[in-house]
Amino acid sequence: MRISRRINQTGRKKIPRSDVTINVREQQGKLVFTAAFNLNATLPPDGALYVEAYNSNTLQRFDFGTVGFPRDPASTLLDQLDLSSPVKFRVKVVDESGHSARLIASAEGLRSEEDAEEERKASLMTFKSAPLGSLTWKVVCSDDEDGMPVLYLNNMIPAAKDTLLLNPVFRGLVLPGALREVLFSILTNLDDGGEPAEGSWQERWLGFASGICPPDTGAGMNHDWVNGVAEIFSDKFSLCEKLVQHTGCEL
Amino acid sequence: MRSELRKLNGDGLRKFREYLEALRDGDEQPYPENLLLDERFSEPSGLSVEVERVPFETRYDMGVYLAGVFEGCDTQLILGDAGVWSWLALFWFEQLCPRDKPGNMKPGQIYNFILSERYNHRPRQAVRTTYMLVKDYGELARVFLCQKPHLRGAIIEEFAARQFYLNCRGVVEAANRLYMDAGSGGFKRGAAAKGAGSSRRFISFLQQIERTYDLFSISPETLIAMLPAEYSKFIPAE
Repeated sequence: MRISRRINQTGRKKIPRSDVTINVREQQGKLVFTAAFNLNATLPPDGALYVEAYNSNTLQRFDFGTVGFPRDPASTLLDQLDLSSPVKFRVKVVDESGHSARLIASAEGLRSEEDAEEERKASLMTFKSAPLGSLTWKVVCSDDEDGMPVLYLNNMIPAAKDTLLLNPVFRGLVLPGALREVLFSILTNLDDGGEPAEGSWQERWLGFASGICPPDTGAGMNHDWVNGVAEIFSDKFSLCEKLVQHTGCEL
Repeated sequence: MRSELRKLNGDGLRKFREYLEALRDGDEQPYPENLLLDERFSEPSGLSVEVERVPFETRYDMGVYLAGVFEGCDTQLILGDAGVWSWLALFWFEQLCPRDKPGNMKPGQIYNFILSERYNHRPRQAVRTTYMLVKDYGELARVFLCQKPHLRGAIIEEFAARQFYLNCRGVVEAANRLYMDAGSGGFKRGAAAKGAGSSRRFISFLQQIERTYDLFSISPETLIAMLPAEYSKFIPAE
């Protein structure tokens, strides 16, 4: 087991994602980016500041001066990169005194604000931890067309978000119920025979659910349909079987 | 044969995949030459270049050829285009495809020929990586590409698993100094093995130091000076 990869023996600092803002825009058919920094005051002011843009084994590096005196490079044109998928960024602060090239601080896997926003819009649900008393979880659906449902997990549960997303027991016991709640909430709040607003989270959810279980042309989207969606969703991902497997016993 | 550069469309990629899978299953199929020019399976690439079916002694020679063909072109337009790179792999398939002892074509992995969507498979596409290495490093790329076109090369396989290292000039240059035998034009003995100082060990070394050092800017001299004694047989004399 290679322990050294997990222990930071060098004092290399992690730059929080919130300390860097990257925006990408199109300029004459090509992509350019800007970067703004709000770096920790404990970083040495003469540390060299670099931004690397990368995707699919292509990479471009840009010199942004130093921590104490950041300056934009002459060009931030992303013209050497594979653009077939979203570009990621990393920021590095390097000690270049005496040709050491020692890493002082870094941030990895940064996305542009635009890509982060697109990813957020494409999601169906957000997961958050919150104080919920003795309640283990709850779903809150926004009336706002731009919002999206939030599944809150009790913050007393250790590593609640990661647990839900990775643990078959949590997934099996929570996700179908959360899915039903969201769909019931949508149907309850739609006027009789109404349609959700175009591009709204409600529309995305109904589209997602219809893909799992097409509604009966006669009855439409009703209580039975929602239950059908939950059943087929559970079957599609073998939620109960995986729960049983994970617990290691037959029920 | 000489042709304008084209790209396989969805149907062309599917047909090429079927051909590769048949060969892998031992089902010798006729080479699907028609996919290259038939508009049902391919279309213009968007770049006004022509390629020729010339024999390459090594993959490096293929890379040099492509660097010349694409000189002055905006290759960003095709960098991520699976259709283009897969078309080129089909165009030169006779040279790129390994054969078994009786001489039957045995393609190995599909992603060696059809550019994969998966980031860890993309560097293994035979033509794209060859071109990119020669474009970025010229002669320094020989250490990765010095073998026959149908051979992927053990050293590039080690580096392809950690793509970032292929973006670091100092690392590439150090690998060149350590493992390239200028006299023979191939690897030094033991370079592609698993033993002390080999390229596999070099990758492990880089993985250990990359958290401490900025590999992108490190010089080959600094990197070689940091190597432990096991690399002594590969470090060139001053």
